[in-house]
Amino acid sequence: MPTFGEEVAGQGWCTGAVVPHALVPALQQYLVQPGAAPANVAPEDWLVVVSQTCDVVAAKLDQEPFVEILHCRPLAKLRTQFKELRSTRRLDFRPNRQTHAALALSAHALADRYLVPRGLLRDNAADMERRLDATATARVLAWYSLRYGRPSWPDAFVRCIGRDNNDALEAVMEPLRDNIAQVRVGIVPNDQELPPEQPYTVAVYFVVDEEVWEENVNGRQVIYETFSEFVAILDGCAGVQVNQDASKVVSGGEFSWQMTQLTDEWNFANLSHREE
Amino acid sequence: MSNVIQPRNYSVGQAVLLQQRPGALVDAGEYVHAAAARQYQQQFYGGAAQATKFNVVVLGTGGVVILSARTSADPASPLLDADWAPRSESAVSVANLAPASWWKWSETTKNAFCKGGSAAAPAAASRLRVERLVAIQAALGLSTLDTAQVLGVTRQALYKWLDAKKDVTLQEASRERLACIERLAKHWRERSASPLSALAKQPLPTGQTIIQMMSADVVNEAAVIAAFNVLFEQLQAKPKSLSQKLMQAGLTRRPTARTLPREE
Repeated sequence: MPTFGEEVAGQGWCTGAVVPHALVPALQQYLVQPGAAPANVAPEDWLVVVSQTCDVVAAKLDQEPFVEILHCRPLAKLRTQFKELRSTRRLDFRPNRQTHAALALSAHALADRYLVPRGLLRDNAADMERRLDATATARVLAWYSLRYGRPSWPDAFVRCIGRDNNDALEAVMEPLRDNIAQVRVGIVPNDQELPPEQPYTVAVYFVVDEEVWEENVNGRQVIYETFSEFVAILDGCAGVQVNQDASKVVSGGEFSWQMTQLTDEWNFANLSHREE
Repeated sequence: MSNVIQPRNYSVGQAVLLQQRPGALVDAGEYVHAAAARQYQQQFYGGAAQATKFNVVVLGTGGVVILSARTSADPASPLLDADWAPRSESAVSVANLAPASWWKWSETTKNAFCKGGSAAAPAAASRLRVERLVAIQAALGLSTLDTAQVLGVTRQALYKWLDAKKDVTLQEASRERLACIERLAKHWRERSASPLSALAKQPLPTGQTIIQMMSADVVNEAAVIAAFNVLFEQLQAKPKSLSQKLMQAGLTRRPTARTLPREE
């Protein structure tokens, strides 16, 4: 006798699965935010399951009575400020490069997110022609993870960086997109709003992939160049002083767990200034 | 603020504001600072003479004054004399600011221009200086303290050298030292893709460490290169770290948001 979860799985439901348009009327009463009219789901919209698959197919209904659905709407093209997790409020993304190569979707993290009873999934199959590919699924989950997991920095510190320095830092860090190094910072204090006359002190660490550190001198050169530019820009922000004695480029093999606990990943989503 | 006069150019927008209120120079300075990344040469056109370029100059005494105007054909000439009186028609709009107002906001403006000063375009020489230092750091993997030590400078001096926006003039001795360490770093780089840092503090058969040898007042390059050979052998024999062993055993990194393929 299959479990409830196995029956749900058998209907093709998992993270990234899409609600077929024919099922929308049955869900309509759940597609509503407090104080707002029910969402108008057009045929070309995608209602995407964003709960983790293990929760979608949990054996018993009462373990996970609801699944999270994200209402994604098509748009003409990806917007720079909302793609690639640059905003924790809105995400523009391509759902499936194989089946819908030209399609771009957009969704708001809260305004477009709904909870629907998981029971509805057991008796209805997921859309067979629309599904997020693995990259899009990972991107959406990473986006939610970033929204809730990013470090909370003082507003005063974020204001010290400002939009233009933030853009300059992003541009400088472009070479690190291949994930050859992670930028971590220790902000002192990291939990207080300081008055303008009191600067924040920041230690900067470029933690280098061990393989790059040991075997890739060209990669190290790029990292050191980026480090010096990053430190110079950050130190130039009014209200921020970089502790240059403590800051360094260091092998990931040497950067301890202890240091990880004392520092935050430099996260541009936390410095987001982009408005809708 | 230094006593060096540092010319700045500003955009038309700032020029218009300048004619409206003194505080506009504060905005102008902040704008230049804010647009630091790659835009430094912005032309400043006065309202009275559209083709005139104004150079906004920061005085070493802390005041701010527009001292020169330049057309495409004319050489630089001062707009204002020492008493802030305009010297030419093109200076009229600028000199509408009463002298008292200069001193009232000069401190604020000075701070704005200090920030604006940091937005100066890195000269080619500064960029080259940084590139050379970065190449040394990448090859050797030394800490900033050790790098400063082998270059024979303080940490603070090295931080300045590493900032391409800082206009640093190296003394002859520093240039020679930099060239020496650069040669040695190049030699190590040709020998090994791994940085020297792992063994930098290990005593050599001579009793010294490589850092000590490279920090000597007079560096014996041949001896250092010979020591490199010894260190290279030691590096080859260095046991793998725990994470390297795990990767050899088949463990892989989980993909993260930063490793996701780009959208376009």
